[in-house]
Amino acid sequence: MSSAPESKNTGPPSIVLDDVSLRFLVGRKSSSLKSLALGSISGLLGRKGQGSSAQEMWSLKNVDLKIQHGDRLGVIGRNGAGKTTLMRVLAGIYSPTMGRVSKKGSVAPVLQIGLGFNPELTGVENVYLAAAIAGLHRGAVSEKLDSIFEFAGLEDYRELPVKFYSTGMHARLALTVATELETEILLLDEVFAVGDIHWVRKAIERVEALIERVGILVLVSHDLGLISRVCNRAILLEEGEIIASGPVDEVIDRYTELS
Amino acid sequence: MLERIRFLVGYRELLRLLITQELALRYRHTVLGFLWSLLNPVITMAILAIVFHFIIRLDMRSYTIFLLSSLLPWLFFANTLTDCSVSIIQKRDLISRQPIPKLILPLAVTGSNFVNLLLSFTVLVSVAGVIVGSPFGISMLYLPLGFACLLALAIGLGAALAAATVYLRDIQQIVGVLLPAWMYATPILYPLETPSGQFIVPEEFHFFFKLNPVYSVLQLFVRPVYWGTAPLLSDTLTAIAVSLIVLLAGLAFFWWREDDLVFRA
Repeated sequence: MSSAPESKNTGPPSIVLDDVSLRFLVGRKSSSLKSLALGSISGLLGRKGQGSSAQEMWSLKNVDLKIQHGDRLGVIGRNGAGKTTLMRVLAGIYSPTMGRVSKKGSVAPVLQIGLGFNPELTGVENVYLAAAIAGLHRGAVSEKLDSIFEFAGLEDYRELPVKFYSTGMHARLALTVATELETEILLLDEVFAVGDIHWVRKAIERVEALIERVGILVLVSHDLGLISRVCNRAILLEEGEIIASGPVDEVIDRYTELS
Repeated sequence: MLERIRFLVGYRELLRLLITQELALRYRHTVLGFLWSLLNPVITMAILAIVFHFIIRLDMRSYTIFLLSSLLPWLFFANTLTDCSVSIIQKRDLISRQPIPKLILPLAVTGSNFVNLLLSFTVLVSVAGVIVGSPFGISMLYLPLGFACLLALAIGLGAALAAATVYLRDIQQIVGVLLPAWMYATPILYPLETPSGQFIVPEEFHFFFKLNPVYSVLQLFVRPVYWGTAPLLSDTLTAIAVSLIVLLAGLAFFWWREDDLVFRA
């Protein structure tokens, strides 16, 4: 389990993955009485399948990774290489099938432009929700509301339920909130993929300015220029394995040779 | 298990926020707002009172008070199980994006229903007591114990259903079908016996009714509110034991599956 938001104690932030592997069971997603009749209950629960048709898929294989204070880690790789899965492990959303994850510091993950907003709640209510998840007090958030909605360009939509937001508005609010939470670890997964050019430029500036303050930044992006501008380290994922790790230029070279 | 509890306690602010947001959302955009949480059980009870008092002619004193004391806790219990069974699968977007303890989701719906119960119970029982006249006395001090047992029962069963539905979506439907059957099998609309010593249900069948885990917990409400007496010692002890066992078993099951839920929801 990952640590609770309050355990910010004990030194600078760090994440260590020790021989982490993660297995998905594919082809058994929708469970119903029928599948219960065909397989046993233990089969449903994902024990070693007796006569079940589930397929194993290893999304991460033997990943060793040490991320320390000051690291700006870029994660690159082809579609389906395991980048988002790795981010979910780093965030503590997925616990690994094998291996160990140890983590120090508070985390704000923005995975595929979302924070897990509740569509029925208004923008403001969702900001409070995201802040509470990150372990922030209500009072601390109230002061930041104006600047959050101003930066996101959503002043007029504060009281609108998020279900009426466009994809771009959603993405803008998510990134703004996550970068405003002042957590020690910031995980950004393809957050610049949505939005017009003006917003993307503004958002990148904000992340670059934040680099000085945040302890650890992990950035997943297909924008190699962005990775080399923002990051000081990179890893290359291929079929769930880290096949290159080191200075950003070298890893990017290796990636371009792949295809 | 200790680690899971500590993890959960770290998120108590989030739980509080989720409960208030849940309550706020429920009656948003309705004209009557919170009044619905009073009107809802009142209307249900009015229908049942008409059916059982005037049509079936169940012969007992202050049927309304009896109905209040048993039906309000039951409605909380039934609604909570219904809400809990979908609490994880409805929030799959949240749990796949944020590292929160999953237990917080069934706890939030249980919590908001519980707040609702406390408010509606207090208001409706007081109003009915004034109008109809009820032997409220010192035995009302048993009510906090009743609420605690009911809450424990709902959390335990609710958490287990929340996790189980992730694996077997049919449970959602099964819960919907079984709850009415469970209600009629529990002495909620009719008592087993009345304070005047009259048996509504023949005594030889009482044993089967008492096997129902909800029965003893409901007695902690019915006896003080309707009879005006303390609940039987045997019922009190059974209620405490049953609710504790269900709570612990439900949590154990939930925590056993907790890390796996995000892959399946």
